[in-house]
Amino acid sequence: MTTTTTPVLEVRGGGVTFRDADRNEFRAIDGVDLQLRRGEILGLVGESGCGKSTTARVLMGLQRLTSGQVLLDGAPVTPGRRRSLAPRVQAIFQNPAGSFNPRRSLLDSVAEPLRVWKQGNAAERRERALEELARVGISPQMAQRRPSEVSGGQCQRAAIARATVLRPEVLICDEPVSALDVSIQAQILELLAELREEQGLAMLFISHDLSVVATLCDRTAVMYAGTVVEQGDTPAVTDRPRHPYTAILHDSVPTLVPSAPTATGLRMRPATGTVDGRAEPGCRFAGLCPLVQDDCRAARPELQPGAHTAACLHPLGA
Amino acid sequence: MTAAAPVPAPVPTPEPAPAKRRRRRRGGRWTIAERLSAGWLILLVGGMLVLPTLRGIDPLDIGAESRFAKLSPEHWLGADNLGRDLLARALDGAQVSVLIGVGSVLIAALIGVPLGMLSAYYGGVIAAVISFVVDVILAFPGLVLALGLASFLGASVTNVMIAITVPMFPVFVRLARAQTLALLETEYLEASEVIGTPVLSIMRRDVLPNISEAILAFGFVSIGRAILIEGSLSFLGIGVPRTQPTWGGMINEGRIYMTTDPLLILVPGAFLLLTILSLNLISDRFLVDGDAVTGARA
Repeated sequence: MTTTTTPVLEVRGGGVTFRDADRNEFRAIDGVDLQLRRGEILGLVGESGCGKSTTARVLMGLQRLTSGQVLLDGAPVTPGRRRSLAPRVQAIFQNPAGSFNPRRSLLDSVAEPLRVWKQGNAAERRERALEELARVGISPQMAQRRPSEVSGGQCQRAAIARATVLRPEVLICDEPVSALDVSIQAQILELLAELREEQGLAMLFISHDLSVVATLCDRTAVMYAGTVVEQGDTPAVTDRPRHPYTAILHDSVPTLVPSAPTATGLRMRPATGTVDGRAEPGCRFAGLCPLVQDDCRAARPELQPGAHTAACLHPLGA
Repeated sequence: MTAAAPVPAPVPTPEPAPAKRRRRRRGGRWTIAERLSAGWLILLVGGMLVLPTLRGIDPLDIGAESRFAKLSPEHWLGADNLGRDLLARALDGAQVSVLIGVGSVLIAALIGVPLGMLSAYYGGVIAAVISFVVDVILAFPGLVLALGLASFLGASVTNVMIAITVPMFPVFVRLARAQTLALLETEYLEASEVIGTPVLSIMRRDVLPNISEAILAFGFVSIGRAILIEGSLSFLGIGVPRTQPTWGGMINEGRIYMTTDPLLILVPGAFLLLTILSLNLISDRFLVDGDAVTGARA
């Protein structure tokens, strides 16, 4: 994993601002920098509403950046143009059944990308789709069924087949296992790991579950209030978190032993009312950070480039 | 429903259906009302096609001896003031009504549904222009607009269809738009976007099949409405040419004899009533979600 090669997919200074009818602005994400290298699985974690999914939608080409840019293989992607990322970037979604047209069979839907990109004739496309489905463990009989007639795990397998049938370079996975049973989760995660081995597929794996990310991902980026606050190799981020938020997020993974010692023992300061980190002039986490100091409220820390960095003025273990 | 032109119902603005759609009664048992309705429509179309040749009675044949004939083996449903067979005339009128009803709804749907889907999908300027046109047309009461167009264009079947289609297609635009907007939130449309499926293909394969039930249900109600407008136009004498028997025209001509020979307006009136009622009842079968078109009942 050399840092000198160009990342296959990259977002630089990515910002998305939504405006409502009254012209109130909301910065869903702001100054997001992410690099996805070839054949690497990058985990993106954070709490609900921190901008994970907005980032994912940007990288899928479903959401336009209002600032910054997306680069595919080092070349800037024209914003707002359809098909600027397809078919090299494909995606799987959180709700497996919901991501299939209810009126069409799984086989039809998996063959659809081939039809759209005009590959082969109908019989060849069918053959390819069946092959791809077989690889993810869906039998030809099962492939004839509609999404409502198969289980969530089978649907997600078919969704993976649909996403990989065009041999993309990048797979964006937006919480692909959070709607599934734990036993099915493991199978899907295994399948994704296999795909990376076989095809050298790069993945952006979004989850709110740190333990899932820890088992699958090479690198991890932690998002808070619309920006990346820490990124680095997964073992480093999970074992030696540098940003207080990461430490707290890590400690909050539930264990069977309530009295089990936490890694850092940090706790969020009790908040008075809702804390909107995006509105803070300084560090976004200052309002909740147990280690907050005076300068945190004045200056906004930036994420520096490096192997393992945190956007914090007073990182842990420094 | 017979004499005076009915005041058109307020413009329906269908609410978007919930994204999660449930199937109701698809392939389930037909209710008695639905069976009767289907029976009537089959009877009407069958009679319209078969009976004229079978009975060999010309709807235009006049005869002094059969004036105001009652129900009889010769004139099954009686005859009018000129001795013309009422059943033959009603069935001849049915051809006009069915042609205009089905034809104008088909045209209205073919124009309205694509516009509605595109307006929902693209939003922005395209949606603004389309909704402006729709709002302007819907600002006129449907029947008044049809009246104005029909009298301006002159009497002919084509012109009546145009006169009915113009006030009707905007409602299809709104219905299709509302239904498509509800679908836009579904993940499978986003999945198609990520695949890079062309917009037209998304419309045809992902959107249309999933909004077709509501469109179909509303289409059936609209056929009834179109037939009613056609009847109103014919009643007022600005519909199809007056030599062509129509239900509305028959009601108009029979009006004077309402007290002495009610059969003259009862026969066309019953055809009109039963047909519209049947179409409305049948449309329920296509409802996936009751909310989708209840607002569109006209």
